[in-house]
Amino acid sequence: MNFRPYVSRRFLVAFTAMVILFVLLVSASVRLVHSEGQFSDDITEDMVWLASQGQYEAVRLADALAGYARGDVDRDGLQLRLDILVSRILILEQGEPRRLMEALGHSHDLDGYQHVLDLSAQTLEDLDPRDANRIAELRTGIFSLAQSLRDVSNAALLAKRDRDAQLRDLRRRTLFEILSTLVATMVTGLILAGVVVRDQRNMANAEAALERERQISKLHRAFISVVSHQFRTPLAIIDASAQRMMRRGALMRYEEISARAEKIRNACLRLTRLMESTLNAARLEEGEIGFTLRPCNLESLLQGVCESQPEQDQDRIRIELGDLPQWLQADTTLLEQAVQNLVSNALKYSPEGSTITIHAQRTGTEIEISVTDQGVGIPADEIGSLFQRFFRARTAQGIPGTGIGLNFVAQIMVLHRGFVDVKSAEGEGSTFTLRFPYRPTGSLASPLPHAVPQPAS
Amino acid sequence: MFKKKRWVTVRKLGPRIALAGLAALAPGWSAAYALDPLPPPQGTVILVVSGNIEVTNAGENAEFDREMLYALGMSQVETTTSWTDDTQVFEGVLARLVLDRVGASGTQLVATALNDFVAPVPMSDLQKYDVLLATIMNGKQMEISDKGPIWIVYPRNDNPELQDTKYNDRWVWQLRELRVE
Repeated sequence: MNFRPYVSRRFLVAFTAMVILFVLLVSASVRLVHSEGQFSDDITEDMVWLASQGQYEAVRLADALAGYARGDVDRDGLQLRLDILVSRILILEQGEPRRLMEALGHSHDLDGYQHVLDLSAQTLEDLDPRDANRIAELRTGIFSLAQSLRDVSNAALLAKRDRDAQLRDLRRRTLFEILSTLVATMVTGLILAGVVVRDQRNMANAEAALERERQISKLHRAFISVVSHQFRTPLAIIDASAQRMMRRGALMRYEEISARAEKIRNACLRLTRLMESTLNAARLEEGEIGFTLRPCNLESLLQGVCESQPEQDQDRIRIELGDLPQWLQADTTLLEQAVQNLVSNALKYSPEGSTITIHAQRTGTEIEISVTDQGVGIPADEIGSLFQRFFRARTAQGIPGTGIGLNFVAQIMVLHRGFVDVKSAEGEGSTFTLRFPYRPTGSLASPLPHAVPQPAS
Repeated sequence: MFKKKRWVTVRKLGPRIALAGLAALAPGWSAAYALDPLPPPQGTVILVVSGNIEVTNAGENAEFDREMLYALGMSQVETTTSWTDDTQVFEGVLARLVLDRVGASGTQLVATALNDFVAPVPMSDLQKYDVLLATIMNGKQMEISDKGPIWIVYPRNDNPELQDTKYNDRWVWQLRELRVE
């Protein structure tokens, strides 16, 4: 399982694609900007203007010549018109305008223009307004110059249109390229996001699975610890009884043998129940607990719990029975586990010699079983967390325990559609009360003191 | 093409120019100087300033001959142009000095050329840049037959933003008249 999405192969592929597309996008954009700026300093479009201005000035010079012949225009006026025309032609002869003239294939016309201008300058020096022939000759030359400039302006316009079309094409292509790169970038980005999200989800799932495994493993260890601890007491009782019987041998009276055997049987019964409840608890963890309601004699169940405690502690336990039906329906094994848990907690967390009171009664439709001790108590702020698995109160520090018992008790009560009530004062003691609905039995018959043993399958 | 970049030098020529420079720096004194009456031109008039001006010498206009223009102080601008190759050296009077001299106030100049070409020139250009009313190009007095007598020149090498084509229209050559609006 890969927990680092940034090194996953899918991520790398998508990321590389993103980078490449981004580079493409930037390069296309740069090309677009460049194509925009390419002709920004260009005066190609001015060529139409420059040529038409030349043409206009040529026509004005020809016009001035006519005016000169009529006497409307003096020599200076004529000279001014010629000078302006000269300046117009001069512009076409240098720099970028000249290169554009060459590009348009009209550079050779410039010699012709110069010839006309030279001729005009010479003629103007001693031109008689009445010399109609020379004036007509000059005007013809100037008109041909104007005609040629008109052709130049025409060609420049066509060239400009051509170039504009090319430019538009180029721009359209680049824009299309940018658009497709953008779309591709977006798609790749989406894939990338998908990959990241999926990897994250996989990672979260894996982490959750791992955490679950950890919990289960912790639970199992806790169970083993609890169970092995609880097996020890009945085993010790059996061992002690067996030793005693071996030592006394034939000297032992029948009553004593019977009592000892009864103790051994009780211990065996307890072991059986322990095994069953262990298995039940394990199944409870897996969420497949077999909850079975059986007729239950609460009084003998409480007696049994009391007797299953270590012998030195049994005297500390006082059982008070209130108004209680003889039989009721419950999962005997689980209920016994619950009371057992509460009682052993009460013993464990209270000073030696102090009394533990088990009180059971029926109040209306509810059965109440409370276990009260005079022990260390539970800090008020921790009561809310008490039934969380593995939670142990501050006051429980230094006393062996797993933090699993009360959680188990709470789950048992949930199965009985009941709940656990806690009252506690730190340093004074605690009362845990099991409350669950009273379910009357149909049949009173029961072969065993307080429970029908179930095969532990 | 016109990408060659060189330093544009605006060289002050002679003490009168220094005076004019001072005038530009000291507004109060500048006003007094600007309000001096303008003598009538002695030689050929090469520039007419009209419109919203305070100082006139020919009806509602201020007319300048070459001498009067040069007396305002010559500056030099080295720059490329859109119509020629290489860097050209222009000499002439800073346009703002001429306008200060006639007490011009307005936002726009309408420049008219000898061939009746008309182009607007924002007044702000003249404050922001050393726009020259150039009369000499590469040491030679410009004649009508080559963009003379006056060519409006922007220092486009010194200020790259001036290389935008929109400024090309403002390079009016064969300048005849500036109308202040």
